Amino acid sequence: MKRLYTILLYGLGLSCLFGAGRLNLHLLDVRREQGITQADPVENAPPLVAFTTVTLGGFRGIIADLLWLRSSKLQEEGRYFELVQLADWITKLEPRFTEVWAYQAWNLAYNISVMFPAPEDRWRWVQHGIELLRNEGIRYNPGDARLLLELGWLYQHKIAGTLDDAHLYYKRALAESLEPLLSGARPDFQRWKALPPNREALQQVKGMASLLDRLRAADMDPWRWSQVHDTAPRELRLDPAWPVYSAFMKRETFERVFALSPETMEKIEDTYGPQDWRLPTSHSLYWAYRARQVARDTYEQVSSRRMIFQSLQEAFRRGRLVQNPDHSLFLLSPNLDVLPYVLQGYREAMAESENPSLRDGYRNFLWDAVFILYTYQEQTKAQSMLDELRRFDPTVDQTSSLDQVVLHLFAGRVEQMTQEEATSVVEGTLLQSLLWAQAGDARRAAGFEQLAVQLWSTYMDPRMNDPQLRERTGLPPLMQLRQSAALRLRESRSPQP
Amino acid sequence: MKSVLAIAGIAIRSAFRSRVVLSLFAMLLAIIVFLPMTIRSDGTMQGTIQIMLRYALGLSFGILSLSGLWSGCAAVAGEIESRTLHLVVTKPVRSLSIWLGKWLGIFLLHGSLLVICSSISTALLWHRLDREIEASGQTVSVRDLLYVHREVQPDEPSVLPEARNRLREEIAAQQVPGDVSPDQRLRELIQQLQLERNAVSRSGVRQWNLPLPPASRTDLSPRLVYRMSSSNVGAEPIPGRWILRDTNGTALMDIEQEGIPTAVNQIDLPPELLAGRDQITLEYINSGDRPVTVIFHPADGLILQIPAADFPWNLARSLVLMLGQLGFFIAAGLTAGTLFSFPVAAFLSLYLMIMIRTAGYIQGMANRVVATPWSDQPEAAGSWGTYLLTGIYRILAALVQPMTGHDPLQALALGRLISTRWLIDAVLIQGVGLCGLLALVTSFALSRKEIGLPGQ
Repeated sequence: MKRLYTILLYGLGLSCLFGAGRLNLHLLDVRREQGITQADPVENAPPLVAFTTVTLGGFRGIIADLLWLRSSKLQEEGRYFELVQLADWITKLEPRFTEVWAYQAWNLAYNISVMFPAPEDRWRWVQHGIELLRNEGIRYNPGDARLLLELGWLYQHKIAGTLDDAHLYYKRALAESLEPLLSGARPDFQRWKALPPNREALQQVKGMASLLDRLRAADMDPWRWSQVHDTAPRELRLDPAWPVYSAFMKRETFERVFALSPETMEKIEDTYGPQDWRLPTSHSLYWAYRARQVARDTYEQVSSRRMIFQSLQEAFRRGRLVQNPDHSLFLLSPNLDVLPYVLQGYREAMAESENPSLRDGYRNFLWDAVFILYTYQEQTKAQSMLDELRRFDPTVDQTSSLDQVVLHLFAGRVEQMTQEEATSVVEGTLLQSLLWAQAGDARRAAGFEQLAVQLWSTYMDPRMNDPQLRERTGLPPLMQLRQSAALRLRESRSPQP
Repeated sequence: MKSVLAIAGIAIRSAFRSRVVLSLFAMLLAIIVFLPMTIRSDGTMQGTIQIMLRYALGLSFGILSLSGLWSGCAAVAGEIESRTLHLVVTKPVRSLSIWLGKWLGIFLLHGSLLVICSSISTALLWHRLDREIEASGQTVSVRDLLYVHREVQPDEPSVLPEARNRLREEIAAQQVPGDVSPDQRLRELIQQLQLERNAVSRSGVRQWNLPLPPASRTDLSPRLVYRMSSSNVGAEPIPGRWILRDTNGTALMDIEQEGIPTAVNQIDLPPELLAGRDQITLEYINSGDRPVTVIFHPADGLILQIPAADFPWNLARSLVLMLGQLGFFIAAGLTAGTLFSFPVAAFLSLYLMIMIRTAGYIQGMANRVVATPWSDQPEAAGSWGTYLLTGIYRILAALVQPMTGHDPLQALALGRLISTRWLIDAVLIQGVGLCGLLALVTSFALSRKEIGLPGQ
């Protein structure tokens, strides 16, 4: 009788457990429907995160708070060494809390990075912030548009922007980390598609097993591309299987480290034109595009759309990387191909929202487009942008020629400048011309040269008939200014990562 | 002595039989083995050193402290409940010997575990640094990387006497407003004087005298560390000129550096610069073009770090300090276990541990004082509630103060030398003073306790 009673009790316990489990699934569905997803199991979570989220229950919050207090204290004392680990633990304790991820990443990338004078130290902290979101936050919350936008913002503002003194270093370091994987501005999508989809399939390729064995025999881990890339001897690089192996490893490393999907990248290029994937604007575009796909409310939709066209706008201004073979030159030049997409983005956004800042942004962009296209000798397109500007904003000068408008735009009232100001403007324009000539962009060099001549003439015209005024406030001859600009160019060196 | 050792042996066996203690040891093993594999530093070797030492060793010490407290409580209160202590107290053994035996047994067990954990952690750290150095292609050795430095702060008089003088003058001249207590005014005057001393406006100069201890290695660079705030909002760097002079006023070094406000700024000095000198003068000139005032932090505005000793030497010193703390926790557990029943003793011991860990907070609350009604300034304003709370915090702070001190693990992780004076102070106060006091209290209580009564 006692045994029967025990069995009955066990049975009842098991039934309750089963019932609770079934009911929990229903509860989760209801929570999902209502958008209360804190109890939703974390996706793609490693065992440690899954374990802590389940076993610690409500105590997670208390532990996260204590760690947060410690993190703030250490930051206040200028002891930054532990902060990466603390941010890691705090986010793992609250893996579904968007603001926690966003704050921790922002804190690492912004607040802490600027505490270091050396650009390489700053870059390390910016990377910590990006990695926290890109490699973990988004991995556990793939459908969270706000996290995707936060990541996009780090690329768009921290790296692509110019507010940080070390922004050039960041851009260069990002480009140099991507260049060896992409072998240029963008991957060969067709070739990447033709590669084996995974390691198992790669090992089935003819001659691959032998190459992998040879790599192992040379004391290298074939699945660590950074090691193989740096140390593989020439005879291994001549192996017939090497091209497939190296292309596969480049793609795999690219996907793993930068968390970018080639399929999505290709879709982005189909929609918004070719991008230079070594530049931060392409990455902000990518994450904004991903956010747009999963956006649930109006705020997320509007924010992602804005980030898309802001990234495109930035790509139009500085979306093409110009480097010479020894990488001593690092210049960001306009990507003119994306112009139609930027215009389209603005128009769609303005149709969606009455916000006056959008109209101001569009007007400013059109001014930039006129100037950039003009300096690229794209007179027709520049004229068309000017026409669009005049249609959009009737207060804009409706009568001046394109040349006059650009001249006015660039130099303002150049005649009224002081001698020093005019000298620096003309010399600066000539410097630009030399810079672009050195970068191999003859069209743009010629555009700046032409502009410098016009500026010089505009400033000097009223002084030509007044020798005294010319003597006192006149500019040096153009040839002399050109030599000065050349000297300045030789002296200028951008920081090396 | 024989009886002490016999009791110590029993205490060790009892600790091994406790499930709680065994669970804590299992956690200890997991921490030592797995934690170093999972923790992430900021990507620098200095970060690796700090985080490995702080986390692996810090958690091990925390667990051993808990286990020590628990074992201490169980050794007396637990044994009274299980009636095993009766077998000992009925024998001709002095109560002090019982205390000593139990303390020694638990201390030997936990102390040896602490030493083992420290050795494993250090070996793992050494191995990891070795690998990182190899991977980075640097030429520095692990020994140099872990080299410990002594921190020298400027030799400057306290601003307190001057602040008191000013307060006296203000009170005499009836310049202190009625709603401001003298203590509050004193704090304001201290801040004002510190500000006057540490603020450097554009083109202004600030000087410090630094006494120099001898450096143990002349091939390693001494380092100047400074922290400041600026009158500008944000972290915009501020250009400054640093001139280092000998006692005759001859400039030994003159360099420009842009200091970042609120950050920890560093200047590595040439290794031979300070050799053979016993004092130097440092001069800072705010050389920026813009009208920005720089304010050096009063507590850690300027510190000179001088190479002082090898890491194992500092590790040994920090181990002595940790063993001292561990011994105190065990003694506290034994005392609590003697005076109270096991659950009460465990709860009180845990509370004591939390108080010690939060000593900084308690100290802070005690220092946020308003004038007390029994102070010599009857003009003091404030409510009785505030006085009461302040009084409680002051009593707590006074009680906890001897049990706390600087954190040896923090010093170890930051590469700061644990000074001989610190070591002697800690050994005398915690090891001899507090443990001795607890031993006397416990043995007295044990001799007066009527063990074996119904209900015990």
